[in-house]
Amino acid sequence: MGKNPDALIINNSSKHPNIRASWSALLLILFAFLVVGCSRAPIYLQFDQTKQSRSHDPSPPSQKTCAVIIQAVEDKRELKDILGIVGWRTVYADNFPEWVIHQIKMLDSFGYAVNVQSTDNNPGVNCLNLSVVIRTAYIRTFSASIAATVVAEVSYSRDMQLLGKKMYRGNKTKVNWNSSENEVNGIFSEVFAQILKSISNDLAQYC
Amino acid sequence: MDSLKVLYGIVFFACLVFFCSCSSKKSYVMNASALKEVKTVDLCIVLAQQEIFAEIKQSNITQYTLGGAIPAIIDASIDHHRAKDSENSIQPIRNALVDYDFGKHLAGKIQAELNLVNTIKSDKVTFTNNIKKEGYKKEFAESCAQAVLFVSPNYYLSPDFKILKITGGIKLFPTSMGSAFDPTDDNQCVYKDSFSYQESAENSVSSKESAVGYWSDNSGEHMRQALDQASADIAKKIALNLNQ
Repeated sequence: MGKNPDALIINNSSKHPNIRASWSALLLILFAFLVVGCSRAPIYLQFDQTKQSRSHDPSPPSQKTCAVIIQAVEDKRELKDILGIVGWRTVYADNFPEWVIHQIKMLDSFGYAVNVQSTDNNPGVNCLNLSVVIRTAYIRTFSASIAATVVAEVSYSRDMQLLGKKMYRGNKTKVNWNSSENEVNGIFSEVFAQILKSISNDLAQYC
Repeated sequence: MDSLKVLYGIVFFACLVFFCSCSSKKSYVMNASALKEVKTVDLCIVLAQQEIFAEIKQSNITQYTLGGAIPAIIDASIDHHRAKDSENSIQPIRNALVDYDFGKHLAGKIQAELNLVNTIKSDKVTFTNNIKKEGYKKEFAESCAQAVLFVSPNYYLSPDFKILKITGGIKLFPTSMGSAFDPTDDNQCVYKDSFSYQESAENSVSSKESAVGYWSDNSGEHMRQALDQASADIAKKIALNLNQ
């Protein structure tokens, strides 16, 4: 009776401060989500240790007999400027060979001791040498999906003797939520995890 | 009677306009005098994709149900499922073409044709996969020629994998405009064109699986032949237009 409706609303919300706070938080999250989703800032491939180990899901590490030496990683991609464009964001990987070395080192979670060849550490007699050639690496978005691909050719050798050569392809298609840096890094880690799993299976026959 | 004459007159005039517009050859040369000045051309292939992909048939439940969040979510999930399926199915074709570089083949053909044009010399070829303005600007800034010819192709399969499509655009920009260069401003280019080719395997295949086999067998022989043919046709088209 003659009550101001605005006053009624104010009174109601003051009675439920938690509801008001929840709505504010929800709006803030939605806004943050939209801002990240509309970002045009470039994305760089990162060496995120925790993320990679999480996505590998390796078998329990048991030390294998042979040590693996990464002899060389050669980037033979024709188009190296960028990895792709995700939403409005350009994905750069200026350090892609280093990123690949970093990923291959994760073979230690499959039980292999992995080192990079340098002038200080000459390969031992029983060491298995890996030479990697990167053929393709890219990411693309289409419709509501995001897909990444890496193709690498790996040569296995011991004591200067070529034991085998194989092409590995990793490919993953996921839902593209907000074209974020985490999503891009996560999908590339998962793609390379597929390659690592295949390499670890093949290593068993050479070790 | 007079009104009938007027009507005949209008119909005749309309037919005249229609036939004249249809018979005239559409010119893609935007600036003929500037084009005549161009003696050296750098070729830049702007290729966003590194491997072939397939189109996705978009789900349109939202359209039929007149909008709403739930149909949109259903559409998104159907599209994602189709995308995942397509990416998995296309792997044998990608493996068969792993050593085939479409950009390089296209560039080789274009450069050979350009050098047959008496007035133009093309020595330098560059490649970029950065389709944003910055990608074009970088290549443009590094050019020492009088003009840069940007060719931006796409090659992909239809959703059922039966048709190979090669589409794209061609733009020739004079380097004299320097820092004012804007790849999106068509008024700046002296020659602009587009291309669209299709190679169908519909007579040879009955299903998506057999189409995968058709394109990937013998190290992707059919696919390589089709892409090579399209490259040759694109190159001839460019040379013909620049030789006017």
